[in-house]
Amino acid sequence: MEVEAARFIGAGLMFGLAAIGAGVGAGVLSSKLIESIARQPELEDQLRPTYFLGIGLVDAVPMISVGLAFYVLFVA
Amino acid sequence: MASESSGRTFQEYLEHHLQNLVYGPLPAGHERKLYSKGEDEATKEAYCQEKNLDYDGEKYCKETLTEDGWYLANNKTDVEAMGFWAFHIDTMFFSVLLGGIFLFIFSGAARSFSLDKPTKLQLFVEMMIDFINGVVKGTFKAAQNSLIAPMALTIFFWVLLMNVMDLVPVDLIPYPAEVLGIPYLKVVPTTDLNLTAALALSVFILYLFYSVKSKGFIGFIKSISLHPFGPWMLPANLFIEIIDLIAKPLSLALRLYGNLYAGEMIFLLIAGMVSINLTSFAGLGLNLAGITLSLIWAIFHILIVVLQAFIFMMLTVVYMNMAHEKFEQH
Repeated sequence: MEVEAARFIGAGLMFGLAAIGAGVGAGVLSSKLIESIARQPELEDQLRPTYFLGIGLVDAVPMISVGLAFYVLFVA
Repeated sequence: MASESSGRTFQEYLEHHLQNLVYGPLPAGHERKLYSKGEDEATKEAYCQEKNLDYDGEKYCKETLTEDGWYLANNKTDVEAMGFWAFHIDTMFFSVLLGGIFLFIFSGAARSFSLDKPTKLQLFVEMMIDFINGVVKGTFKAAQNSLIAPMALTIFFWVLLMNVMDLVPVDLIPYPAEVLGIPYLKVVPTTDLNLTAALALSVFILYLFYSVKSKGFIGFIKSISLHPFGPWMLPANLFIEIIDLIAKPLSLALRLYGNLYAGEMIFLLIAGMVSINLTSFAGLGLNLAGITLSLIWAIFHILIVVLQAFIFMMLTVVYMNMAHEKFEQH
């Protein structure tokens, strides 16, 4: 039963840390985007694709962590 | 489709959906196990006898192989025994099929090209080509190479089509296939690490090829050995640059695989939660909850699916740009 408990703790840690990381990353990115657009509104069209690229890169690692956490929780 | 309808527990349902259809060599003496179907022991035993196999008294039909040969894997122990030469047929089939669909649509639009009366398909294809062209022109500035934009277009649409398979309901294709006798089927090729690693490896080989081509072999060696700290710190330079080099295909492959695998996993968890029992009130409620959750996740997943295809293409173009840069002493 101890292995089972360790599995739940591990999965919980993975979920939580992934959420913290993704939250901080996406927050910093979005705030900088808004700052930039407020400063130079004409650059919005150029900034948006780069922003989405950044969001995708930020999003990827926590999503991997969440997927692995589900794997640990239900399959392994 | 819930787990109960196929006589599996939730865990078995998940494992079943996360297993590829594998074809590979098995040695003589290997014991194969086949999941037996039926409500009680008698029907399970009859199911095994119908296939000329022994019944182990619990869940499986057993068979010991008398000679080497190529077989479809029945479960994980088979896959482990196959080792290196295990082919994931479903991944290969669906990736080639989707690549074919992409080529068919785009070449069809190119063949029926008309300047006066453009069809909607032609306009769509032109729009996409303009989009990719703009991205490549904005990113790829180190040299002239007319192969990069077509490659970016192919990568983007191929990966996008493979990712879009994730939005197909999880049991829509595997369940009829199982009824028809295909034991496992994974319809999203990008949830297989083998495919994403193969894609990333191809990009990596192109990166090495163009690096050597534009810098020369000596220049390439110089670029990985003299770069950050100058010639006096050669081992440290090599160490850093080689890690940097290997991290490229690794991150490319794992990013795509991880995102799609996690997405598929969540779809499976939602599907596994849903009960097929429509008569009871609780069953009905669970079904409604499952449909709502699937819908929400699918709508969110549209973003991820397109974004990951875009990022894969974008990073490929960025790496190609890095490969084409001439060696400079910093």
